[in-house]
Amino acid sequence: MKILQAKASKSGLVEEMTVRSRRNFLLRTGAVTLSAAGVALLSGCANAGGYGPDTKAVSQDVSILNTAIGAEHEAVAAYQLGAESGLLSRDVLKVAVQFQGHHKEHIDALAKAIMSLGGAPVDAKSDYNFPVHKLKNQTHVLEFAAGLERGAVSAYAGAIPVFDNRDLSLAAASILADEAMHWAVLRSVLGLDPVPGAFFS
Amino acid sequence: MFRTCLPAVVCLLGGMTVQASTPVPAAGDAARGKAVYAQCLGCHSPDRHRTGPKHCGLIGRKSGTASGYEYSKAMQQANVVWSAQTLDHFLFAPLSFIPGTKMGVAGIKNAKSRRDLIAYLIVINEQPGCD
Repeated sequence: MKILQAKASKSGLVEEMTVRSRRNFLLRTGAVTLSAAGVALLSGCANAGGYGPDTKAVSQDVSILNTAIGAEHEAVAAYQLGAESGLLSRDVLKVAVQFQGHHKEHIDALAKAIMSLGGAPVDAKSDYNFPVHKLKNQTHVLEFAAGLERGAVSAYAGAIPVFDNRDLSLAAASILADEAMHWAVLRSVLGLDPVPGAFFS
Repeated sequence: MFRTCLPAVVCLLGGMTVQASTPVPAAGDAARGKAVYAQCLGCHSPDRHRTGPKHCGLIGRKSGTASGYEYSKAMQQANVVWSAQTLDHFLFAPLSFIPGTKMGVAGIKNAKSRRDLIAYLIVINEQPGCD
């Protein structure tokens, strides 16, 4: 479990990207528009002011980001359900809470990007109608969480090519990597091959 | 499989049917489709609305009409009836088929994967307890 926790701990890559994000934002503030600031914060790289006159492109990007936020809210709620279930061991609970924290950070970053583009981020639902009756032990909870994380990887993989603003694609790829690490750790805890293949969609 | 178990395609966009120019997809493998469906599980479920709408009852339903789910205006106005053929078009490139849909993904470009997925969607269409 210690190994798993080490894998699950906030990685140097994420920290590095966060630092780079701040640095790049400060360096490029003069080069981007105010509305793009949130995008720059989210992506941490490149010029974020890359929209042309087509407002449909902006609204489509906002829509995709909001779909992502909706899924992230669901993940936060699912981990909360698991944490409060009483079914998780202390060590697993620690990892679950950490992963939940990552999803909350994703929501914050995505929401900032949406607001910087003039949109409004969606709120969490009051009820997710989770299949609680199927969650009777720790394995069930972990399988449920792993399914959500695996789905999240696919969702981000599908969204990356369709963002008009390529900085958002970059940001989504960063989040995708985090979701994939969650999925791998959960699979490992479940006794499954954490990385079942060379390719993934 | 699709030829025998699905009704004729009814796809109306802007009042015009698109069925004449596009053939009905060949049969898919539902078992393989279940594996493809894992890609959908980030947002969808067979039996409950999530970020995306549930999939039971999808076949034969008019777009944007599942009760209890908040659709985009684009989906509500798309005037598409979901069938093997319309799903094949939508799944290939959702944002091109229905611009403005919340399903902001590139789509499934492999025709066989789409066929398999649609075969699985047909299986879960009749999920018990789906209202």
